Amino acid sequence: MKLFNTISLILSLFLLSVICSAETTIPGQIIKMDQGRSYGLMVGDIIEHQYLIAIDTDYSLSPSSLPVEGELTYWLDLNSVNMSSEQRGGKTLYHLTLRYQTFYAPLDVRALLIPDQQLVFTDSSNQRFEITLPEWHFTMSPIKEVVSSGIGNDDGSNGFMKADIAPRTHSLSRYQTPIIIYAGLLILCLLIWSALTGLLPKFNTSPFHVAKRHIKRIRRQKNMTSEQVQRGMQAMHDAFNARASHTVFAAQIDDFIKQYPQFNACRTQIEDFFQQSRNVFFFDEEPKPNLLTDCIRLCDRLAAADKVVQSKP
Amino acid sequence: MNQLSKTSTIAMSDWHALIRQMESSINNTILGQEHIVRLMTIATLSRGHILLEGDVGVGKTTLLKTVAECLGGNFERIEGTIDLMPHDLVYYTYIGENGKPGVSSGPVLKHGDELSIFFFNEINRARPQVHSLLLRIMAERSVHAFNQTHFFPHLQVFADRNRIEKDETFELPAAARDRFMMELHVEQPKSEEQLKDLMFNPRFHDADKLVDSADKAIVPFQQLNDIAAAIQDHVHTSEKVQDYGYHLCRALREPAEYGIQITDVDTSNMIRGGMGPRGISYLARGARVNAWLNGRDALVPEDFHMIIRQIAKHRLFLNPVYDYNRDDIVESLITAALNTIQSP
Repeated sequence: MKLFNTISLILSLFLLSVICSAETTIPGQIIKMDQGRSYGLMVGDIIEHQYLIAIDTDYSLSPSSLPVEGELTYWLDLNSVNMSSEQRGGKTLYHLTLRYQTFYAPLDVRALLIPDQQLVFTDSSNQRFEITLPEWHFTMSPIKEVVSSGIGNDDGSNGFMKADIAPRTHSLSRYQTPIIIYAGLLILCLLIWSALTGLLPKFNTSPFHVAKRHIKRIRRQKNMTSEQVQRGMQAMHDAFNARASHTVFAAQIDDFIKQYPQFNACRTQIEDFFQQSRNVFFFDEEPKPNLLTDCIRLCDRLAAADKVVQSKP
Repeated sequence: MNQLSKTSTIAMSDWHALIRQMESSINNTILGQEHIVRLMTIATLSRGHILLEGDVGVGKTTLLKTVAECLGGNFERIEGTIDLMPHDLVYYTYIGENGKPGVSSGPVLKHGDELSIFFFNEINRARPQVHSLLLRIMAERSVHAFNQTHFFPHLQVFADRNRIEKDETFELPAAARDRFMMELHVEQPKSEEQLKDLMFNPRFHDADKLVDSADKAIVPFQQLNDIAAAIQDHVHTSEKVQDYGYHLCRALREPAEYGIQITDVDTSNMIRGGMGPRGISYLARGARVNAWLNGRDALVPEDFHMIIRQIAKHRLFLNPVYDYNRDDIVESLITAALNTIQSP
């Protein structure tokens, strides 16, 4: 018996050494794999298998041996195959990721199988070496019961229906400030555009009002020169031109009043202004002392007449 | 500056009465052309030449003859024909009673420096050679013939052409058109009463008699140059009105600079030329005369407006792509310039 034990030990050591020597001659192997949960899968689930394969640098993976993306069976699709490699310590490490999707719709818990796959590696002398990705067993579960337990009470199919899940809300706080700024700018641009195109009549300040402010500023200055008076009169002319949208000359006063009958009550004063303007600008006469005061008074009346017309619907 | 120069004998204030009388006489003879008559008066007092154009039979020739009669002085007339040559204006040859060939002065030279009005009828029927001679007569009021230069200090050229007929006509070159101070478009009267008068009143049936009925030589033509110069001196132009006149003329040449826009026209590329120094000088002279005729001694922008169309229209030369619609485009341009250029 003692001898038998001794022989057995020797044989074991021999076999172990054979196995060890055989292992040392294998050029590569799967050194790590992750296949995820193998139970409780449901129709539509993604199954991701990751493998880390180490192989001698003499060998390289034959791409044609990789599984082909697409429909594998009527219930199993291989959505993607991603492979990358790196050299480390005289070995080549292959990272392989296979993404399956199952469409099997079991009525009860059902065991299924993803079959094994062979990967082929070849060296420079065309020597082949295969590594098998092992088959994978897993179970799938139904999403719902075959017959609703509440169907007898519900008198319809509502027993199968679950309440809608309330949608998840996303926080918009980080967009809030830019949106407020851009909206403000947009509104401002629209207002400016509307004002420029005359779509905001209520904000349309009468040009005579503008002229009045201008003339008042000039009149506040001490020791007014005739050039300053001329600038004031020019502001008045600019107001007439702006109102008519073209240059208004003394000879066109009738046409101007015909176009803007609201100024008819001021006809005499308008004619007088144009005559004074002629005297100052073309006949080189000195302006009358109260000329700008008269202009301001006329501006008031014309602006008021303008306002009345603008306020009419 | 109320008196004319020493060579003149009529006080400047009396010229107003004479001009009024002349205009009244012309308007009594030619119906419904008061505006044209006023423009012709302005041209005459600016010493500018006049080209009348219009439809057939609207009274262009009658009007010119009447104005010539009222202005007085020696009057000559020539008909534009396709076989008219420049020498026909200067001399003509004939066989005398003694059988020997003779040479006599033509219509331009016949009256020497006393020639007052030279009336060129249907000017566009004459050849360009004749237009060329006319250029010098109009611009320099002189012509060289018989080895000497003849001067016509009182000469004013009136010409007319009709716009309907184009066969066997020669378009006036730009240089010739520019020498006419004004190009006046004569239309028939619009008033029903005046048209009935022209239709049924025998006084208007015989054009020669009608012209003969006008008062003659109302103004002393020898003094027209003096009164013209006196008016230019008399009427004051302020700095502001000079600015206005300058910008008005510039806007006609460079409309894009003033932001003038015309429908379907690229205003930056529409004007090829025109309104040069002669044109803008005529504009200022005519405007001053208009101011004086209106009893003012200072120019105002409205004086430019009175004559701008008659002076500028034929002087603006457009890019050929716009020539098809020339009249409308030029009218739009002038209107836009008047509306755009600001003035006190």
